[in-house]
Amino acid sequence: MPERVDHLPDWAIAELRRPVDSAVGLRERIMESVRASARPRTAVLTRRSHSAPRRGRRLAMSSAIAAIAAIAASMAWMALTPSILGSRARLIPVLGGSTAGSAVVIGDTVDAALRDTLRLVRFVLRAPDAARVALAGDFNDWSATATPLMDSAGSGVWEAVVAIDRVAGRYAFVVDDTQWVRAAYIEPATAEARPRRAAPVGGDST
Amino acid sequence: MPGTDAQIVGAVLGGDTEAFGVLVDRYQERCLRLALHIVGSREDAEDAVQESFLRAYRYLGGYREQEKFAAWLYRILVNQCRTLLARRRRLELPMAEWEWDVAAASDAGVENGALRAELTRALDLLSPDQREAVVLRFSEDLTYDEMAAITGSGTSALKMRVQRACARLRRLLLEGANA
Repeated sequence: MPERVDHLPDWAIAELRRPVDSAVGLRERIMESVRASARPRTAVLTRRSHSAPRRGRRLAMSSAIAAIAAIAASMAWMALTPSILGSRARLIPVLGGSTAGSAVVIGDTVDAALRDTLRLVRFVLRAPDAARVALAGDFNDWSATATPLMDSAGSGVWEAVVAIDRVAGRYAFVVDDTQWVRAAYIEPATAEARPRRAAPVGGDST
Repeated sequence: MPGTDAQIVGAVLGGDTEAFGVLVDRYQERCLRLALHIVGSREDAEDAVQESFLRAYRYLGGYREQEKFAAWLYRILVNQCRTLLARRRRLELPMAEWEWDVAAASDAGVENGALRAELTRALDLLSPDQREAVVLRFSEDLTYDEMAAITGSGTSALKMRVQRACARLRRLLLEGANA
């Protein structure tokens, strides 16, 4: 008898259907987030009725992010690189509250020879109470001192433009040498990608 | 609170936020199992489930009674899992293996843990599309029409994915058994 092509061993199917241990506190976390959320709409507007304003907002956001990227690219041009081609950018807001950080990929290409590997990324952390801020991550072997951010305006906004030779990686801000603020992941900017909000992936950790 | 899913949805839309907890109780475990098999990591699966329920709540007005609530919820969950997997591919985090080692160690029987670990290892080697399809087909015992409604793919494509996934899984499981 020929073997059924869409069949698995019984034990494998049983394993797939075996109940999993309940997640401790998951229900409470879900309901907390639900209670904190705005009430659901009773009537859903059609996509068509929203399409024009949504496009407008997207264009506005794209313009704003492009402007930020252009400024950062100019800084990086002078400081770090012989040539920057393009101004594609992606803004990654990572944290709320009094401490908020972001990373903007400001150029896909720094040099023809490094076209596929090297990126300039502008890191920004809003930390008004901090005395020192540094950046640690895969790109600098998680050194807490190798990549300091500067608050040149004294406004509590700490910045650094870093050339990173990885298309993706993890990083964290180090505030006052001791407080590690887990932040977002660097994402490669692509020609097709539109700037969008990235889901926060972490919070404060010590 | 007794009632059909549609009645509970109506209560929530009418302002009874706590009634949403009934839907959470009703589908949390199944969602967690589905997410766990698709993403392979307990932490990611819990994140996907939590975010999916929150999205379901926010867009509850878009649910239509003609559709099974579970199918509507699964569609949201599968999209969340896809997002997580895409993010993980960027990060290249090898988290599935140790996550499942922990789960296996807590099993009542070592044999069950070994089977689960073997299956997980094999699932990890499938493409995301194949993995998603085979999990929906066998974990939830869904029909191809139901899978199509959840994934947005056609039934023919889904059948092909499941067939290829099964063939590969059988081969991988056989190799594991003979190793």
